Amino acid sequence: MDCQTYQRWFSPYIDGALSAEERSQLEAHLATCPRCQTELVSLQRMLGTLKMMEQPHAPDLLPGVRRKLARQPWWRGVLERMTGPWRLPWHSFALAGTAAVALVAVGVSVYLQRGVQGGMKSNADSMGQSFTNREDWQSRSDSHTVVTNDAFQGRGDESGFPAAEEPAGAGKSFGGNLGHAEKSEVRVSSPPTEVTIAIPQRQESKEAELDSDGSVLAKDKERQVPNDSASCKAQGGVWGTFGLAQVQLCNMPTSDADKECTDAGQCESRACVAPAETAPGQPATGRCHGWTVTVGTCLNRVIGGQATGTLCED
Amino acid sequence: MGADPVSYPAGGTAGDDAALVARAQGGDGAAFDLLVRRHQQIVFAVALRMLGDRDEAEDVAQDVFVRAYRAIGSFRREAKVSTWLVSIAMNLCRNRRRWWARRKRVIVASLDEPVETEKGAVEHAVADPAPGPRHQAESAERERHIMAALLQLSEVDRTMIVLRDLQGHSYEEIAEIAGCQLGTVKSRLSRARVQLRALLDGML
Repeated sequence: MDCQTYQRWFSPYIDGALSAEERSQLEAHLATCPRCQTELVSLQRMLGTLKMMEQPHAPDLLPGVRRKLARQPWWRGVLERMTGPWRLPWHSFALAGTAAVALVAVGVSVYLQRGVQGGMKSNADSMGQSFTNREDWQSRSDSHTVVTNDAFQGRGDESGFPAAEEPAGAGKSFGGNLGHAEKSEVRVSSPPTEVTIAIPQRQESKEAELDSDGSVLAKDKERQVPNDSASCKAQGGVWGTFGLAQVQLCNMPTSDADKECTDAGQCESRACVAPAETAPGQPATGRCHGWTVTVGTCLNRVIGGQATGTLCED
Repeated sequence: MGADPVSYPAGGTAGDDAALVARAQGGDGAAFDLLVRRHQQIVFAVALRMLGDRDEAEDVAQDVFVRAYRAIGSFRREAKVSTWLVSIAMNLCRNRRRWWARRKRVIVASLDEPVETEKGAVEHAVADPAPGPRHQAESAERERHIMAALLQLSEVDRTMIVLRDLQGHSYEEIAEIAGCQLGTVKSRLSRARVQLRALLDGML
């Protein structure tokens, strides 16, 4: 087998997806082939970086999901009334107030969409980004957009909107209904070609805020540490026995080794190391330790910008 | 089933999800809300990484839950909710890309240019570097390179990298989500990684 063939094994090797025999064959080859070793390390590094990439911060999707579920074509409401005992009654949702606001929003959006009917197709591209539910949009004809409050189970009366609306094709004009929309207090701040409405759509949930606060520290993302010597080695780590307790661990190179730091929290290893001679209590800037395991080492750590003095960890 | 850090950031378990689905199927709106909140981060991450555009990703992610809501009656409770949602997400992302392709437009992710949202806030498609040591700016730069390279991959290659190396799914889960054999996952993933490395090398 030549190097090129062996290198096709790198990917499953790193994921632990090679058979025991294939694995030992590959490792035997690696022991004698510096070129393949370099290639492997390069691949491990790339995958290590990918693994540690920050999770993107997600907006709260729930309001948008509800809004889209509410904007159903009239026939969907009928269909759902005929099937599925699992339809969720909207009055049981926690934020009932949002439902009322959504109703108003929905009414206004219907008004706006009707208003730009003529230019709809040609404006498709520029409006493309504004279509919030392309699926539904394509599933109903372009000539009318209908809203029912079937989903709201009779709450329409409370908000001043009619209980049900028929497609324009049926001859019923929207005029009377639009009167309500015009008098509504919802202000539409965007031009009529946009369907977006000035209702806070991206309210960050509390959970999201906490998350972003938490990420002040270096990536807290759980790095899945290999727990056996074979996968440890496959991912570029060193399997060893550490500390007084003689614990067996996989010691991995950190992704932020030597990065300048002023606190343990900034480092993947949770060890920001200052020169040994820096006296305890002195302000210090250190560099992140190069390995994930610090048990059994003696380091002068920097915490909160100050050196702790050389301490050994058992 | 134990806690899975990728799929359950709230520290919940697959058992909790099954219970929520059961309640949602029975008409419990609050249970559905909870399912959305639990899984929206993952669904959004998949969409963003497949499409490269934050607005598109948010839109598609919402559509994922809309579709899930409508199909929840038929969801088999023994299956894993997160995998189910991710496969819906993959489908919708593919549809969205084709939608744009039909209109002869490519979703261009200008990852270096800030994107203005309705509120006038400035967001980037990649996590913004927090003000701090220069190193954090460097790693954000590196992440931008990776995202840019990712978007140049073919759909198949990108699917593999996103599901395995960014989302941390197992080979079995990927086979389920992508609807292919385990052996196919193995070879596709291997090729995808080689491709990505070639792109990254070429970019430096």
